[in-house]
Amino acid sequence: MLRLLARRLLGAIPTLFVVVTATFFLIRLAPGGPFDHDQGLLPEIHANFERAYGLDQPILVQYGRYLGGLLRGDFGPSFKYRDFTVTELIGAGLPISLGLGLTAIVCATLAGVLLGIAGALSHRHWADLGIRAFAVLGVAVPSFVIAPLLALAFGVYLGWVPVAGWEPGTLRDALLPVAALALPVAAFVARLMRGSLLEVLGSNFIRSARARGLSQWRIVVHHALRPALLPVVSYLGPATAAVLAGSLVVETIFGIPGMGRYLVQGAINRDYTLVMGMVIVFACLTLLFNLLVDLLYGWLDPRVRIAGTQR
Amino acid sequence: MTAPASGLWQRLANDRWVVGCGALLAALTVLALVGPALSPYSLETPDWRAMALPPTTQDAHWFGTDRLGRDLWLRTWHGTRISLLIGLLATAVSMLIGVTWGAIAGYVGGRVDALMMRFVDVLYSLPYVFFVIVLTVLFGRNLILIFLAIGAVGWLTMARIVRGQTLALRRRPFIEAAIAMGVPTWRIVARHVVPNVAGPVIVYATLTIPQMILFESFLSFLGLGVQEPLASLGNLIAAGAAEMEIAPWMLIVPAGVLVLLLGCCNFVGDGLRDALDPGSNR
Amino acid sequence: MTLLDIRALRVSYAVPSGTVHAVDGVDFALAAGECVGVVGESGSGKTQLFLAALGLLDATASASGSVRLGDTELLGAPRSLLETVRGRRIAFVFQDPMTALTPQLTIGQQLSEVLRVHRALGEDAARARSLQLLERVHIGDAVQRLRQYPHELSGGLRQRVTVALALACEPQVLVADEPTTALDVTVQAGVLELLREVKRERRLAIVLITHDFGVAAQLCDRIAVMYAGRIVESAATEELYARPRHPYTRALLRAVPRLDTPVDEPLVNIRGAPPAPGETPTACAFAPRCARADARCVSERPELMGTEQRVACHHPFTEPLATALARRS
Repeated sequence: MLRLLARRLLGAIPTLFVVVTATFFLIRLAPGGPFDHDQGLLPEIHANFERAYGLDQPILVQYGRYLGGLLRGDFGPSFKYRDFTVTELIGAGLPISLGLGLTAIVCATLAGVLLGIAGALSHRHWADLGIRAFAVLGVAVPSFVIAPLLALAFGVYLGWVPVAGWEPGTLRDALLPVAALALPVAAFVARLMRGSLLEVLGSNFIRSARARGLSQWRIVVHHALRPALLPVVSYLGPATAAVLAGSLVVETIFGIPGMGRYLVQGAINRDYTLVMGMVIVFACLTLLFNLLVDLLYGWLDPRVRIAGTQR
Repeated sequence: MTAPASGLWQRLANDRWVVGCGALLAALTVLALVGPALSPYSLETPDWRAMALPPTTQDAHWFGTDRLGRDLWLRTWHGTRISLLIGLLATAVSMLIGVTWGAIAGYVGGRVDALMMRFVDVLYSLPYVFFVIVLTVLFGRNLILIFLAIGAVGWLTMARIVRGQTLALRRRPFIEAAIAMGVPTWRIVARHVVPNVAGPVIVYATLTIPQMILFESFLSFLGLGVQEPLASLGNLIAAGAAEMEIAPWMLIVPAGVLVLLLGCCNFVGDGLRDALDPGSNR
Repeated sequence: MTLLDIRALRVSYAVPSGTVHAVDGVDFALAAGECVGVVGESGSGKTQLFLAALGLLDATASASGSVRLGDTELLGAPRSLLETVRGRRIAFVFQDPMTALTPQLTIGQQLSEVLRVHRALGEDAARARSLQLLERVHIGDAVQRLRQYPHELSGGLRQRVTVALALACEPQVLVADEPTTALDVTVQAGVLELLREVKRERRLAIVLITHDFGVAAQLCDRIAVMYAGRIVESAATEELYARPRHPYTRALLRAVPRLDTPVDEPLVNIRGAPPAPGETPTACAFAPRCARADARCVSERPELMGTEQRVACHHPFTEPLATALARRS
């Protein structure tokens, strides 16, 4: 298990390196600079700004300085939010985005798994059909459609929740954003779980277990569940990526000051360092989650754990 | 192995859901192509006398108007056109890159294969959404480049699928026999590999189209894709979301069309997959 | 004393083209301590017969008739009743050892589970008993094995584990469905020897389902031959092999290559094929392939006749097989 962990961590480093380098050069090579949007800047002042931020140096020098800064945990200054460094902005936004994202994933997985089990066990019932319909909808209704629709339904028409705004620590503010992030994932997980459980329940070892006189409940919980969860766990990697992407939209719509919103603003404003910093952090999060998912998979499937091989 | 193609149409036709969704999809496409022509209005001209009207039959504002008085029927179907176009083109791009990459990797095998697939793995583990955002910052809001970027990101899974199939095929005796007989490589690939790989590729392509449409809508929603005054389902939804308290139809109409589009595409894609390979997980 | 009594069992499936009768009216009796072989080709219904008895059929199947274990009626019984019978009074050993065990539970966990559920043993007692069981089926290094997962064991070992699981609660009846088919010949011998021992020492009634006459001969007191969902002949093993009465049995036995057959003699096979699923068989299902068939065979279904030796045929053979073979050469 530890060997698997170590190997995966080592493998992530080159990937990270690629991300940083690619992002850096892509952004720097883009036409236009971070100060082009500022109206009416005299050429001299423009040049001053560039010099102050080190943008007049040869590009490799800039790259080197950036890498050096990264190792010290310094992502550079934000070009747009002039009073803050990117590190500070990340520090402010990360806990919020992380909290939102994790809550969404956990809720989505729990809900999806339970619905999937219910769907599989109530084979051919109207409940099963309902769950399947939900699963299909989840694929067709993405976060950025669900979010405003939820806000419309529950915020405007029913008035149960505030439409936007973010009071730190309030549950009600988090309800809609988490729901918008979680619903598409939950739908897919439900579908995955249902299919997987049905397939497992038809397998030989389940029939053997039944032939030994074990109760249906025991069979589902102790024998069928863990193998059936494997595809769901595999999906958690892409699911996290989807939630991270969705957070961009959800934070924008609900005005939540998380990393996602900063990234979008940074992209619109061509705030080099901000965009880069955010992308790197997002990439790290993705890699981290993929690693956790791998470990979880190993725990569920002894064949992987003992062999220590990659999937 | 895949089921025989002869029964394919029959199986597809039997599935009511697939037929229904296919028909709906066709209807949406027709509307996207023809719809705008039915409206007397123009795409970009604001009409100050008709701002934010709900859907009515008078004045031919069947979907209502937006904040600037522009007809939503026109804009919605225009947006659908763009979404479909981008979806198809991006899928084509991803297919092209993916099939080529996967076929080469699978056919050549060995270290080339290992290297190529390692590249795919590294890219796969990254959140590509963010890279596309970076790319949009890079290229500005150029439509063609957007769909290139989207497509270039979606080729990974296609490459994996094609590589897997090619790898399996490569070992088959009839390919080895063809090689031994001196049949040129391109001919083997064209006459033996491609037809056998076509099945899963088509299925996956059909499922990729809604993904690409979704992706483009996502970007446009954030303001990073199709820009005003052009309409895309994504930026229409964004505009609608901003006005939803006063003019909910501005949100509901484009959202509805997008949901229908994605839902039908996915259904048809699933149906296609089930028909071609009944054993796959349902 | 009859332990398991099956009467008029029918198992049917509804398919688009009609109804398929996997089991078409079978009577079967098993006495305590007896080992009966059920021999037939794939699709003859031999597995379905006993799956039906334990209520393990798919939801799409419908079964009718009667299955009595002692004085308990099993067919159509509620699941709670069946769960007390399965594993506890009747045990099933399935065909494919590679997929018969739950992959994420250790051998020890799977053994303890059965013991705790059926015999309410505590953890320590269950563990002790599990060790005993593993030793009983000749699995060495039992302590280590208990901690291992199924994929760490070879096919032969896994099959022994399934036998151990079957014996764990000391059932009255053991149904072994092709227990050796998926194994190497050398491993086969080991498993068969194990079954022989078990039969001897516990007076366990065994049903051995197989398509292999050789395997059946080694273990069974009595053999029932199935064809197209029906039992066509049933007799004591030696009688059956010496004097097969039903044309199908006779043809099967003649098809088995013998050590003393000249090398260049062509293999004997039975022309034609069993009725396809969904195809309505003639009154005697074997009639299309039988050289002795006549109009009566096509219109009137033969019932099992006889006492010790039973055969369902209008024109059974009477001559010993050896004599017939000698006459031909």
